[in-house]
Amino acid sequence: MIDDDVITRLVDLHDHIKPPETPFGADAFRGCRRGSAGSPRRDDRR
Amino acid sequence: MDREPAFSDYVAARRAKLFRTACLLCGDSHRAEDIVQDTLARLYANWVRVTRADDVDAYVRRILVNSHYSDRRRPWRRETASTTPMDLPLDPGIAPEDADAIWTAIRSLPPGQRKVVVLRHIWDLTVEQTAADLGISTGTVKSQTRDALAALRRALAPDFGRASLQGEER
Repeated sequence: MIDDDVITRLVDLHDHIKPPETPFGADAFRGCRRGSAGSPRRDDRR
Repeated sequence: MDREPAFSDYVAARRAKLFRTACLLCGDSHRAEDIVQDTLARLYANWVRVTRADDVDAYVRRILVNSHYSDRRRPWRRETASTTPMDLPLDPGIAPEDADAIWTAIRSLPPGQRKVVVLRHIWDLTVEQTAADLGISTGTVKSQTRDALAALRRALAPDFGRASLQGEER
């Protein structure tokens, strides 16, 4: 089935994407501490 | 406060998948980092409420997709044509030319089709779950999935796909 091959290749690419070394969690914590009332970048979303 | 260890555990377990998902959604690894960071910041802010939910992943997935929408609305973050060279960081085990072909193909899809394909085939959601996540009808999910797979099939077909994509990029 050709669609299966397409999906397999897409999943294969997904599985081989290398995440950054920097822990995202640390960045998120900093964002919360910097912002106010739990939404660190509220002003960006008008 | 004891939410930080639990939050950190969740992030450690899920951050790779979130980053990979964001890459496929937005088509840019640098933007994907921003989107994941934004998603995790919002998750942290709502952690207590989120952990009461039945499915934390579902909540996080919706934040991720909404972050993608928000990110795209910013004027300096407009979608660009998929003509830039591949800058996707890859682990060993996949042929670069194959990765490049798939990366180019997925980036050539309209954002709506890209979201449906990612939710259906990367997150393994049902049609109904995908529709609920995106706030669209099940019929739209089906048609977008069909159109997306047809486009990917054309793009990834030997010879024809590469020639077609190169033609579109000119």
